[in-house]
Amino acid sequence: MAVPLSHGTGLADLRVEAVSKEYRMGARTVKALDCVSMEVAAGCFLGIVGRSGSGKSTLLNLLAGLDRPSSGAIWFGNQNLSDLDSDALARHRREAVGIVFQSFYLIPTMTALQNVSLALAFAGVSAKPRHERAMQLLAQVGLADRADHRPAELSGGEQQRVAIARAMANNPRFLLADEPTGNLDSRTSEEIFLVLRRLNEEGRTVICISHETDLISQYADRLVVLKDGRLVTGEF
Amino acid sequence: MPWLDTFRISFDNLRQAKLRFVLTGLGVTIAIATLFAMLSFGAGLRAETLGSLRMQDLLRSFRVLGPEQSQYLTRVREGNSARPGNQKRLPLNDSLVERVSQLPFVESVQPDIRLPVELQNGNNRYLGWIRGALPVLGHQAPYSKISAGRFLRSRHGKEIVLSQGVAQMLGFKEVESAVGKTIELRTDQFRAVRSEDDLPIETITEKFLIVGVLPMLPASRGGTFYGGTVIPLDVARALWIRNPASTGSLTTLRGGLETREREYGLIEVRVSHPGQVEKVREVVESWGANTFSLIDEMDKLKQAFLILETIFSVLGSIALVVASLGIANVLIMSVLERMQMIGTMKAIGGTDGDIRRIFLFEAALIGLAGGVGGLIAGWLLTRLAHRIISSYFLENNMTEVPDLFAYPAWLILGVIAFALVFSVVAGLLPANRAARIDPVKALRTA
Repeated sequence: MAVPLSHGTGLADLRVEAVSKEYRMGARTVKALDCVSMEVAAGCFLGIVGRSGSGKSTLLNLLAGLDRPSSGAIWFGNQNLSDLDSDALARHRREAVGIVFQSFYLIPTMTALQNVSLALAFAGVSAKPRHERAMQLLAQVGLADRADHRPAELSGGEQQRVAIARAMANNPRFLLADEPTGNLDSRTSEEIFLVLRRLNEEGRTVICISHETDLISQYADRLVVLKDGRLVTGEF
Repeated sequence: MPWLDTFRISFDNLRQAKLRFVLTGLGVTIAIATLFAMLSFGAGLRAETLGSLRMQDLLRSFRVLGPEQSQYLTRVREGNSARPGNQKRLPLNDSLVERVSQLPFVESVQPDIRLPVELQNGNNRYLGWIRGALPVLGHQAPYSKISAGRFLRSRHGKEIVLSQGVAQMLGFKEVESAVGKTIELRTDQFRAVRSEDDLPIETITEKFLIVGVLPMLPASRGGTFYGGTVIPLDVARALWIRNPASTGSLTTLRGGLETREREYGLIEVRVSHPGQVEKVREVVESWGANTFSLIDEMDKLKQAFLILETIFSVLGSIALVVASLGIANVLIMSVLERMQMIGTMKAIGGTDGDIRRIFLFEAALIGLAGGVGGLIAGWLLTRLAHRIISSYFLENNMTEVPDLFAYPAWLILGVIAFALVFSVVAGLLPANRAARIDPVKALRTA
């Protein structure tokens, strides 16, 4: 049964229908997600919590189109991700969603500006508007003056803010964050959540995974719990 | 992703691993330099050979062969129905020379007259062969390249043009100093005898005015040591007719020295345009003569060059294949090292095609850099080789040194394209591997 999450506009923008994901590990089959269903309304800030190995990241990867479910369907509006080929999934990642990772995954040889620009480059934005947009995004996360710095020259919090700016590059409807504060101290973690909250208030749907239940509960509209690959509503 | 951005990313990636890039590119450079030098040699050899044939006007001339060469030609052409040997024996005499001269398109007919002589200037002597020549030959190599004085102007004058080698043997250190000097020419002549005791040969001496000196030329430019030394054709013929060299045996004298018509070894016919060679040949062959033209050999010559260039290409390609394996190896290593970057790019919207193009561009950049480096290195290599060859020619007093290396546009562009194609093909495997990487796994292993 789907878990309805009707905050925000009240329209279900994302539907997860009986999604399962199995991995083969040698001769063994591991079920990372087991028949997960949910609906996410547009403009919602959804927190997904759970212990390590509960399937949180697997779910986020499926929502991002980085991976495909073994069964079930994920609907973004009228589009079933399972129907998309590799290029269309790349377009989904480029246009519909922005992803923020725990380890930032900035390209170390590129500056902050170049990292943000890269997402725009993949979208085919030409040089001048790309530069302007990337600078604007860095300014929004308070890093305009660090645009020419490489990741190694930035703090963890700054790197994560660059990653958020990059995720926002193509103005996606969804922001997917996988343990965005996992590598940060508590003060910086709060800063990052404030940024996510602001982006949510601007109208984006934010789906954030975290194991820091107390912290995320301060910012999320709603929390769902994943346990052993199953969605358990209201269990913290 | 726009091509320019793909290029920038690829270029930056290569810049991050300069030493690896340089070493891999160096492999391509060496391979391309080898290939370029070999093909440049092939092209140069072809250009020099065909060029010298054109320069000596050999493509608009053919030879009417005497009995000895006819026999050889008939043997060579056995089984060749396209141009079988002529079994009739047409004497190569003055009548034939006159007859051929009357044919349309014929520009000059020159019987091959080689006369053994002794030339003397003071105490300096040259013992060897000279040839008879028509003044019209002055427009053709090697005679057109006269370095001092002029070429023969008449068919009857007592003039001589020396080759540089002969001039130096006659004591003229500076070739200019020979022009205007008179030298003695001695040659043997048959004579009528009154008694059995008399010798039928006498040595005559005639004075000749040196009117010009030819430079030392390489054989490919028509130069030979003595071949350049010529006297007017009619003068040469008059001496040759009474010279033992024209008969080969004293027994031929018994038929009567004065009445017997001498036969030439061969006659060289020059027409006004290469396209008319065949027409004139057909007429002469219809009279029963055997002829030979370099045009017959052109296809074989071109085929030989093609084979030579193919061998060079294959040898050069082997080096390029080895270099390409180096590129493939380096890029595969690079894919493994850049898993995080690939995963990240895919996560932010990069398509498989974008990732593939980045790696193919890297391969292409290595190929391009190696190709350009190889061109420069190859050019330097061939110039060095040319200098070494030149010094050999100059040491042997040749004034004109053939360049055995050519750099036609097709070679330069072709070699660069070759390097690019090989590199891109070498990059296909790693690029496809990078494109197919599962982003989740890539990010997990990073």
